[in-house]
Amino acid sequence: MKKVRRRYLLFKLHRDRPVIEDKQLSLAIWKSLLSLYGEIQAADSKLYIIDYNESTGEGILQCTLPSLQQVIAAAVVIGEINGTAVSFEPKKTSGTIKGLNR
Amino acid sequence: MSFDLGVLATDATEIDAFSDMASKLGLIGFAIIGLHSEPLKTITENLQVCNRIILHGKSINSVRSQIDKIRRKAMIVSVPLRSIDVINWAAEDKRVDLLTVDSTLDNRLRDTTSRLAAAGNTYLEIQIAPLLKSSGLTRSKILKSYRESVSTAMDAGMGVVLTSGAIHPMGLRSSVAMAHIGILLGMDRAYADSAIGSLPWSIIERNMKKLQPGFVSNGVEVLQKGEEK
Repeated sequence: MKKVRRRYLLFKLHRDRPVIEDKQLSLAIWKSLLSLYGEIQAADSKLYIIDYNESTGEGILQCTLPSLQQVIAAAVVIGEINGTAVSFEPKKTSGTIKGLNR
Repeated sequence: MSFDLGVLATDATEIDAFSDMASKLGLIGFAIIGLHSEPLKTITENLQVCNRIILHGKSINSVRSQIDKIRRKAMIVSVPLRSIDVINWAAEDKRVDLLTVDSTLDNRLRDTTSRLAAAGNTYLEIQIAPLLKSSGLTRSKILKSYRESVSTAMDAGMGVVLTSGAIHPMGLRSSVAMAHIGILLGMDRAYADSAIGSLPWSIIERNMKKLQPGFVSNGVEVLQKGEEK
């Protein structure tokens, strides 16, 4: 099986008061990705949130290189999560986690 | 560098909340409906707010009478994409800056209108707020309408501007986020970047010149007044 290149995205989730948990965020991005691009693209994205700070809203997600644009587009059109208004801000992308911290 | 020309908050007291969010997202400014003071107001060193007026008239006469009264008071003047007569008139009129796609209506941007607008330097405005509030079939219909309008405008050489259409600070998006929405709407990355950066700023610069007291028309301005005899 051909190895698919991954990309890591550093992001910040701006929100109103209540804290958004990583599972809620992950589910919201999956749902948006599924709705916008369909089941095949959502499955191929291999989306996974590998780090997320609930208090600051900063985190890192991982997906495949071909699906990066789609994952970001799906995340930024999320208007609210569980009734909380949110604004997803993509900050930096890299091929390695180390690269995000440079 | 990103300037959001489409904040739809009607209450000027919300400017502080929008300013905080805009600063966090790295915007250099935004246009708001509820601002009734000067056309361009500096909030901080890196953030400017300008006022915007939406002309809702149903006939050409109604819109024309409104624009005569407000043009020198507003930095941005927009007309929603509704009646074909009004929109064709607005596309040609150099006092109108933006033609706004209305996601709730089926009115599409016509080729002829977009060619008139391209010649008159009037831009197409796409507000992303309806995309954030909807999902499923509703969002799909909005995307269809937006993608068709963007394609028609780009084919005719009409500029497209992406705005938030936010009524709440959380409706604002960073420049990178807006660029990705632009790509979702059928733009390439370079065009999407200009739709949220250089094009909105060029409209502001153009109108700042027009609002100066000595401005007569493009290329003609009063440099010095003579004495009356």
